[in-house]
Amino acid sequence: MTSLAQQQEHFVDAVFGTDDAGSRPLTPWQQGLSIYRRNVVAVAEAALAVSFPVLYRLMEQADFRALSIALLRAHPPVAGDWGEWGAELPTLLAATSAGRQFGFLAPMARLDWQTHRSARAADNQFDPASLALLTDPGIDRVGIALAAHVGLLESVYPLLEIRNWQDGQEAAAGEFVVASVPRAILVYRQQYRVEHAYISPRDQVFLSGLRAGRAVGSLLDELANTDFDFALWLDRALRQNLIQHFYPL
Amino acid sequence: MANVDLSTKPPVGVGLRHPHYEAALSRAADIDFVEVHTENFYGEGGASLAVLEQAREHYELSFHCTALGLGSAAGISTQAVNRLAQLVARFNPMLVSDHLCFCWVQQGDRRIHAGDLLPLPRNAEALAVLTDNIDRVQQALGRSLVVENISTYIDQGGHQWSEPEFLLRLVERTGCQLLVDINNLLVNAHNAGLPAAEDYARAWLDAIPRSAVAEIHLAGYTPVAPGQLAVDDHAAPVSDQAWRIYAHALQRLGNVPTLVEWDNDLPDWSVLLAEATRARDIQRALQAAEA
Repeated sequence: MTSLAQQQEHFVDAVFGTDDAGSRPLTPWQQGLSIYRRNVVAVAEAALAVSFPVLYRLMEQADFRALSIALLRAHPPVAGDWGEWGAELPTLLAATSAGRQFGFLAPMARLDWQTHRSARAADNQFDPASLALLTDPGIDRVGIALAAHVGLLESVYPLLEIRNWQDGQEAAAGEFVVASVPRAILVYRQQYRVEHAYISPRDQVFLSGLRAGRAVGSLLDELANTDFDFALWLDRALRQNLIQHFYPL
Repeated sequence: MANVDLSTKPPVGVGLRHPHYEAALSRAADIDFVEVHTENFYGEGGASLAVLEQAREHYELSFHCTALGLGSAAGISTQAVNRLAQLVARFNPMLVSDHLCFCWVQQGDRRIHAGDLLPLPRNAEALAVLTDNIDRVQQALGRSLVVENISTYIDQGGHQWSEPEFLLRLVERTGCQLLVDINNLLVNAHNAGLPAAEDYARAWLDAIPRSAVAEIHLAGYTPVAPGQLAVDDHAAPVSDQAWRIYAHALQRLGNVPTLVEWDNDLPDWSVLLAEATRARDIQRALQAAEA
């Protein structure tokens, strides 16, 4: 390793390290270091506030800043794009006292992160010609590639109700109820707007199966004894811009 | 797309930040270009890229990177370079710039990004690292990169050359050009405890040849008490001191594209435009005086 590389590693270790400015007066090195530390924490916190906007509004600012610092130390950025940083935040949050005390925070962070990823995902252009594959080779040998912006997650917490309430919508009495079984949430984007919706367990099975690369026919067999209607689902999925293309298996 | 003839009309622009999108994009303002931080547009799709498409209907674009880390001995990110290259190929900005700093270090088996513009020693080893990294970026982009002098808060020493000398060696080796940030000169002069910051900035500019400079940045910083370090926070109007140095820079360097930056405590869009108008007025006054 070159001396410059070592010097730069030491510098960054110091910037990401804990504050050792207990003594006064500060040396010029400590003064300068404190500026770099404040800068990186401020930028990290601002970046996370963009990527986790609902979580940011739900948490005390001091707690959010502490979480930002903890994430910086545990999982420093590995891309030059702050927008890509933060995937580990929900797990880290779940282990904090705030995360344990308020169990909905970490799931909400997951929803925020999926929303953020959907917002940045590639624009989707459905390939209508691929629809012909449903006839030949037929549904048993056809999969469906979902748009890059489509995300699925589940939680027992009323995440969408909390999100709507944070957006200023009135909360109906009894809305904030923890469910006995997890509910599935679909995250997707129409044009530039990210949308969220609870979906049925059947839709969840179908979408998860498509994601896993299973054939449409196989999934319909699995759902044969339910009220899942592929034609209705397809119509809705196309209107919601969920599908990229059909592909042969 | 706006077209600016750089040979006859020295462009003036402003930094385009999110709170100003609506004002800036709803109708064309009397500026020539807007500068965006490229990292805000690295998503593969979505609204942010649409903003750039809208922006270029009214203005020339200038791409200002903050995360390449050109002086990083650990090397730079292939992913970041590729994304920048894609963005440049799509939007063909008038300038592409980044800073004289490092950001990346190797930590075990991963390379991490420090999230700030960290200072370099001005020595042969740093020059070699910069040369390799800039060469790589320029090869990927197929164009010259513009490199900005930064504000520093720690001087680790180990310098072989002054900053202008170091930059000119870099220009000579790589064919890059320079972005002279006047505010950074003033911040550094203050932080070095120099009694005459303006003299320092003028001497710095006098050491830079006209042909090396592609752009000037103007910004302001929050004043601090004596003895405290100033931070290049881009949270204030351009100072009178900076305007005087700007006039000197134009006399020395000619009418180069000029950008007003404001990143924190953002004012109304009209205030930012007024700063750009002031830059243009200074350009015109100097042109008139020369004529």
